[in-house]
Amino acid sequence: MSEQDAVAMSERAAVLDVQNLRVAFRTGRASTQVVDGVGFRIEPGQCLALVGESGSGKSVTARSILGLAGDSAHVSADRLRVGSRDVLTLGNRQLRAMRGADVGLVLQDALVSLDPLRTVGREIADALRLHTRLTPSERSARVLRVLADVGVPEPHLRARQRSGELSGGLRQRALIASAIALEPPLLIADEPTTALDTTVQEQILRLLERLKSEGTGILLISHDLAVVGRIADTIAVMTDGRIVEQGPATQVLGDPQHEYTRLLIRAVPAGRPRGTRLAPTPTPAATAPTAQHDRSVGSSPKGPESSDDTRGGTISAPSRGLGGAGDTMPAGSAALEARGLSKSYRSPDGSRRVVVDDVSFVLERGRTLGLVGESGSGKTTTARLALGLTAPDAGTVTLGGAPWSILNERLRRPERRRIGAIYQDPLGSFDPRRNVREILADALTSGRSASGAGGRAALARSIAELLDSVGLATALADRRPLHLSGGQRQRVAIARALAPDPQILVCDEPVSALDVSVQAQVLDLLDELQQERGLSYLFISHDLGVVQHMSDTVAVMFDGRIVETGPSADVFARPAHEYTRRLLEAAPRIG
Amino acid sequence: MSGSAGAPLLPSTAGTGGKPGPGRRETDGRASGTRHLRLILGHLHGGEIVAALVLIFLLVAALAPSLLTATDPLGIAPADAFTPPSPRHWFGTDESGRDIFTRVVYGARSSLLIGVAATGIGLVLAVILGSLAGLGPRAVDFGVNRLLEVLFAFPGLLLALLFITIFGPGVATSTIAVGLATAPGYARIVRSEIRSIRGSGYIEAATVLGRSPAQIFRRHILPNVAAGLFALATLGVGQAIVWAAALSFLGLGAVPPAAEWGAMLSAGRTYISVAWWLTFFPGAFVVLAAASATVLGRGLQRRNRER
Amino acid sequence: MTFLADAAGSPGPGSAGGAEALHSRPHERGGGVWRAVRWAATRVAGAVFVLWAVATLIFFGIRLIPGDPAEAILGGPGSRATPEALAQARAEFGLDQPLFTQYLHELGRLATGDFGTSYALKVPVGQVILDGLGSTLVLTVISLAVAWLLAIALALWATRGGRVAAAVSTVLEIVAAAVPNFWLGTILILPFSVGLGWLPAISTPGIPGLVLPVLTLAIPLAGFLGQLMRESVLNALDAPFTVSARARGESETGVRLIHALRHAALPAISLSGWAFGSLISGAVVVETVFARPGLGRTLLNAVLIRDIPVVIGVVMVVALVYIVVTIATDLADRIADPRLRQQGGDR
Repeated sequence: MSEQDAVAMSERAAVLDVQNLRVAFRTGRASTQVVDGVGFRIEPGQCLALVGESGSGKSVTARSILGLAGDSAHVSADRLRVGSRDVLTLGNRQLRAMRGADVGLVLQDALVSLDPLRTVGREIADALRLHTRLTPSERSARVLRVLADVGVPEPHLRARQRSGELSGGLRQRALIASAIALEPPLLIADEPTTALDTTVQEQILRLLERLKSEGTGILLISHDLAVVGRIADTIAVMTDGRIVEQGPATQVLGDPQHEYTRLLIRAVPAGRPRGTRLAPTPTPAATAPTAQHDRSVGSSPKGPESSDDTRGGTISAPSRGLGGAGDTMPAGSAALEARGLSKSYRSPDGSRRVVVDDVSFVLERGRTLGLVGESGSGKTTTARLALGLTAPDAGTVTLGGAPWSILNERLRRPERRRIGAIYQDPLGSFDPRRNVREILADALTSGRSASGAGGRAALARSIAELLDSVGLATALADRRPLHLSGGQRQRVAIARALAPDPQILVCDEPVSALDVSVQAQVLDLLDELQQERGLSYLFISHDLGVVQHMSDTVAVMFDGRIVETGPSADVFARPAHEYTRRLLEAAPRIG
Repeated sequence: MSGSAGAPLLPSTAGTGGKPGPGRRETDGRASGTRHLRLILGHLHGGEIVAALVLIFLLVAALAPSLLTATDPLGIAPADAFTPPSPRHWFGTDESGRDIFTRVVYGARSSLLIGVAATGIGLVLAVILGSLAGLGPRAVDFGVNRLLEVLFAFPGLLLALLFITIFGPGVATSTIAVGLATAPGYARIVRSEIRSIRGSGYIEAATVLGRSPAQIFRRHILPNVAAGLFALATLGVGQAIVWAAALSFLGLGAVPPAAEWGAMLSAGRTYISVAWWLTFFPGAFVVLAAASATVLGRGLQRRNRER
Repeated sequence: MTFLADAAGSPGPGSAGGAEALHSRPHERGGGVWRAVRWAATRVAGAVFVLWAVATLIFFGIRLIPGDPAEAILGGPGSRATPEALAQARAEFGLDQPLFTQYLHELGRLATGDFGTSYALKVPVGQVILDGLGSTLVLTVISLAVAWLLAIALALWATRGGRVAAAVSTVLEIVAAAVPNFWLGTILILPFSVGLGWLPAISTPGIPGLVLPVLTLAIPLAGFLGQLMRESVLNALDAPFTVSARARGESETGVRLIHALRHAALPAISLSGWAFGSLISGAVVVETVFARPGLGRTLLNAVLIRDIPVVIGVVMVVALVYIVVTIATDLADRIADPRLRQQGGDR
């Protein structure tokens, strides 16, 4: 066989072949290049992962392959072939014939990616209706087979249910079933596991892995390098519409060549020791306007001790929690203690559902207690109990040894400045009518307006200091949070929480909605602030990696109970409870 | 979140066939003041400008009708009866030779006044009921909701008709009647608005910061509800004008020969086969006023949502 | 009036991440029947309550009318009724009883469907209502159907036909929704009756007589429903599930008919109860414009001459019809949107 033949052979074998794909969007007169010269190949039984952060152009790439980039998109390519079809030359009818039969698409969240008004059976049967001449009864038989094939138990029952009636894992399987009903040689999976719990994510990845082994070519799109590492043969790292690095998975993850890839890998908190910086320390030239870590040190009123030498490297464990100048109590005493907390709610059908069940924990001063669990495990309710926003049915919360949960709200209100909170959705936590300055002024002045020129000047100074301490430029003070990026919003949320100078911060999924690199910056910031101010964190997350990186002590929550608790290192190294083990095994990590 | 809550009415009808694409990207946040200004102006659709101009015209007509026409709205000139629209009488004349344009201009005052007053009455009642339900304990909420359900069982004009049956016809009663009839709808909106604001993240954040319920109400709930109410009121004035005109048309509000659009229309209907302009122009102005108020109200709602 | 739109649930579920409330469990079978029964029982009890409250409100509201009701019965203050005649009228209508007795008496009569005797016509109010009810129901039901068809057509065209269609239909919708039907009716008469003579200006029995009244009622409603539906068609066309459908090879027409339209119908269905109510009150106007016999005209005449028993009777019947229609739309809602069936009865 000549070399040319071999090339021809492999070209024939590719299920997807993209060369120099360019996509531009027209908005009015302006045109934005969203995908700029992307190219890759996928052969049967291969998985190529396209990894990038939001706005990198990875989803647009996927949709362009299906001819679904939209009317305002201008798509061009030197080559864009699905199997033997040249996508760019296909008419609408031919494109429709290709979709579903030659390529299947799996989107992020099956709750909304399957029509919530139709049964999953009908959604799956649609693919068969559109591409085959099967009779309705043959179709439903086939639907049941496909459902069983993707591991849905009792397919005859599930086929009659709608996405909202199925659990997250089952409905994601049903979505995959609808994409592979016609056994397309190529499956495009756009963030297929992003909305899922760790253990469910593991199951879906295993399903994709199996499809791969059966010969399906997979284009996996994800923001998460760790997830991708599980099943990808090839990884292409995308940013700003370009692929900056492409190669075998082990090579890209193990020996990244491009700076951006290294940044992404470094930002993954899983397995990174406590206190390690995740984001690179920005050079002064690169600071504006998002990340200005450098300026946060020294300008903060509370943390003159923490100096430059502690940043960037690993902080030795004993020094932690002692740095805060405001600390009068020795590290190790309880900042917040929960004893036997229980809370149940009435569900719509009248029965009571226990959401938090006999939960006890101690948050030590200057330390971080990580609370990890999957959705529905009662984490958020625990956070609300700790904040005194809901009264527990049983049990108590004490703050620095003083009563907290049993206090009357009127008595608790003046004490609230001791404990602050940041949330997963910072935008929703800001009054939409206010700009950053007003938000912070309100938090600083306890709602009273500053009086006199002196008062106003002092207030302006405090606002500038607060913004500075969270690494935001003062110029941002006049913006409304709506016009800030996700990372900037979370920084404003942190600044507001810090304004009354609290001792404790309850962080409820503070980085879950953020891109990896931004997440890294925010985690670094939280870490830094803890050292400067001796803060105690109750850190809640579904993400094991984040919790491991942030916590001194870890409590694992499952079904309303804390099933295991202990020093972070011990729990992650030698999980005692079976559920923790399952969680840890399911958690994807690099390497 | 507040996005959808801010607009309990119809979502904006601006033709936004959103596409997946770069529009989804977060604002990189480098907008300067001038760009802000341009954004706001850019968001003012052509329709909104036209609507604003129409309302300004009507406002002038209501406040100083003599600026727009020199003729007397009640001055009869039997010789000029039933003149079709002409350069001298833009909208023609009626059976007594009165100039229709003049009467339409003078009619703006009573129509706008009735519309604004009725909406005001409706909103005040609605804010009282809605705040009780939205802020009060469960039992109050339950009670107010039942009351609203009962009021809803008198659909549309029915509550107004019942009120007029009791207190007799006339401009004042028909204004109050329209206000009463619109109140339940507003009250439900105010209630759900307050509920959704109460459940929003920033109220919880304010609680965590140690704010008292009174402070939270004054500083967060009230301003946020008020923004929505203003848009709602604009929309409501348009509707109230139509309703009040309907009552006049039915002979329950203003009575001919008063220059009121509904009453003019009703009087002109007798001559529909010989003089169409008697009915056409007053009605067209009702449509113009109502449509303009709708367009502006929508614009305000959209702005509230995007802010 | 456009103010009830908040009752329409938007079909956009939130993000599935994090939020514990969204952690949905597999649907438990068997609970459905129980929920349905509970729902039905709640609704019927609610309807009875509302009817009782409506009757009470009217009963005491009527007492606010200045003047002597007995005098009103005998033809108003102008009739110069003798004291004997007044006393006799009081006895006949039970007006000499204590207020509370009268109230109970009234409730009892209403509960058995006895609305009393018309002051003006001297015939049972029930008879007066029955005479008009059929005609008005035909008018309103047909108008509702026509409004729906117009709204669907408008929404589909607006979301399919590009920029121009979107702009044109926006104007159409806003103008249509702002048009008072008393004016629209008159304006429609001009070309079709006066000009071309195709359709009768005075409503006659039969189909031709229905065309103009139906259009007069349907067009403003269609404008309103059209706005609502277009917005939700656009939302649905933007939703991930339509991307999934397209990726499955569904055509744009298929996406609209199978997926988007159903989602678009939801808010419009929720509002149909309200729409029906507004049609009934619109019937008051339209029946007057087209001189069409019906409940609306009966009511208007009764209001004008203060024929109180007729006013009460009509209002009670309209409230009853309205409640029935509301329950029916709620039921339609639950059939069209299975998600509602899983939740509790009330929002």
